[in-house]
Formats: sequence, C-alpha cells, structure tokens
Amino acid sequence: MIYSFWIFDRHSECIYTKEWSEQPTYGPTSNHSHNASISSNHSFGSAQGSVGSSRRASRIEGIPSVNTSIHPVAKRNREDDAKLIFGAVFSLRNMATKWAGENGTDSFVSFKTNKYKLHYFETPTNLKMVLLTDPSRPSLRDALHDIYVNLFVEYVIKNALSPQEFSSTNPIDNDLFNNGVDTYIKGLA
Amino acid sequence: MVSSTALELLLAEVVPAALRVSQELTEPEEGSKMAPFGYLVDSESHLDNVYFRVEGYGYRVGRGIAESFSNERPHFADTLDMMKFICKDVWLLLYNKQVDHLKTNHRGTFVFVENQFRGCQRMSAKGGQVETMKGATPYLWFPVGVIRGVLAALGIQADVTFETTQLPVVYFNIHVVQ
Repeated sequence: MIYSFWIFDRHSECIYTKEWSEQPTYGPTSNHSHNASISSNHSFGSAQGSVGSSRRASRIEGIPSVNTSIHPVAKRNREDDAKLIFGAVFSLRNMATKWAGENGTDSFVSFKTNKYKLHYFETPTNLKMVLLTDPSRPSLRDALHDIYVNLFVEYVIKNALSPQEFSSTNPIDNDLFNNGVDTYIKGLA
Repeated sequence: MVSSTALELLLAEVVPAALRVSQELTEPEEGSKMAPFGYLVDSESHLDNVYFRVEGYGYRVGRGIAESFSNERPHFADTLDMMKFICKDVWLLLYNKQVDHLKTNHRGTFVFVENQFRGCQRMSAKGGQVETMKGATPYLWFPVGVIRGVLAALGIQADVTFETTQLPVVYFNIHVVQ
C-alpha cells in the first residue's frame, strides 16, 4: 500500500504532493509523538516552531473557504503534513549524515513506525523525494530514483512548457508528470 | 555530434527569448514584466512577431545544416530526394529519429507525418491538452523554419506549415513554389 508522494525543492518548498488512499493510520497524534522523540535536534526545533505558527494562521484562513472542492480541514492538514515531513526528513538526514562519518552523505534511506514507512531519496541537486507506504514495504529508493530520472527530469526539466521554479502555492502541475507518477506508483502496488 | 539534451534545453528557451525580444522592442517601458522561463505566449499581438523570429532561427539552422551535412552524399536527383534527406538525415541529426511517413501527391506537395514528434513529446502545460497545444505552437515554428531553410539551401522555395490535433502527432505540410 502506497499512501503518498512528496517532492521538496532546494528551498524547502513542497512542490508536489500526491495521495493514493485515505491515510487514517498516520494522524496528527502519531506525528506529534514522533516529533517529541527527535526534537532535541536544534534545527528541527526551529522547524517545529514555524509549523505551529502557520497552523494557527491557516486555521484562521481556512474558515471562509468552505466552498472549495477540497474540505478545508483536509487541505490544512496536507500543508501541515508537508511541513512535518520536511522537518522530519531534514533533521533525520542531518543526523544520519553527521553520525555516518566521512562517506555518510547518502545514509538516510528510510524510517518506519508501526503504522507507516517513510522512504527518502535525495538528488545531487538537493531535490528531496519522499514516499509514505505501509510499514512492510521493502526499500523504494530505486523507485524514487526512477521517478526522478524518468519522470521529473523528462517531464518537468525538459518540458519547455513547464516553469522551472515552483512553490507550495504554485506546484508542479502538468498531465504528463501527473499521469506518469500515478501510473508508476500504481504499477508498484 | 550534438547532445540532444543540450539542444532540447536550448530550444526550450528559444520561444520565451523571442517573446522577450518582441516585448522589449514594442513596449520598452514595460521591461519589468518580461516573460520568464517556461512562459506561454498568450498575447495575440506578439504572436506574429514571435513567429517570424522563431521560424527565422529555424531557417538559419536549416541553411547551415544543409551545407554542413549534405557534402558527403551524391547530388540530389529530384525534390523527393531532398525531402528524403530531410526526413532521414536532418531529422536524425535534430531528433535522433527519422520522420515516420513521407507522403506526396507528386505535384509539389509533401507531408511529413510524425506520430511521436520528439520536439513536443515532453510538452505538457498546466491546464491540460488545450493549453499544451497553445503553448506548443510557437515551438513548432522552429522545425517549420528548419525544413524551409534546408530546402532553400538546396535551391527549392517552399511554403511550410504544420498541423496537429493531438500532440505529439504532428503533420508538416510542404508546398513547393514552382
């Protein structure tokens, strides 16, 4: 079971997300307990601060926009999830790299809880790709590498009609990439 | 000979660059609103100007290609032979593949049928097929210019247009001016 896929650019912006099924198993409570266990890291502590403040802001903004197609609660959670995931992988990666010694630049591969597993892949250009799956999945690093080489580079970088800079409000949005990711992930399941 | 990725990335910038030049010439005071990378040409007023520029770049490239890559081969027997040169040699050079089909009525009209035109294969814009077609159109003027340029270098004057209803299927129509 594959839950969701996330891409973060080198400015830490979440530039693409896609979800495949309901993810009732990883709710806010499990995320919070998870945060607490690694929040001693300084950089993660600051990331957490920004998550908290933006959550308050988005909750206020969320109220008037009830008539949008996505339920405001779901939308707000997705934004928060992106920040939580980024914060988690950012500090885990730094920790893993630091403790691995000299050749430790690529040492953070995945982590898992009893509810889900997070697969991580980072490109030399600092693009961070994250896949959330059920905990029993073997490593999907190769899959993330495939998505990067065969879909991201082909349909985003080499796509003349695609912008080259994205942000969380202006994410990657083109049919070739979207359908490509969907087909690839469904092929894995 | 040419890195196809390098060529592709360069061509991706050709249309926005042409649009910027066109904007700067017509509205110099609005320099701050210039088209960024990956910009879709949507203002009709600049479209003609962009056409002449992009088609012109293609024409220049076509002229050069014809001179650089036809010297190894025997002389051309007829116009059809020249079309075959474009479909095979020139297309291999630019797109790493040959044109899928070459049709002719033997009276000066030729059609290159491309079922998977490499130049548009990876194009996809926000907003789906309609926006993609709109955005891809200026990029197709480049190969149009290339065809016209190669033919011009070989002494043939021709009108070249393209047609597409579903990318990446593209038809290039060539009418030789008698």
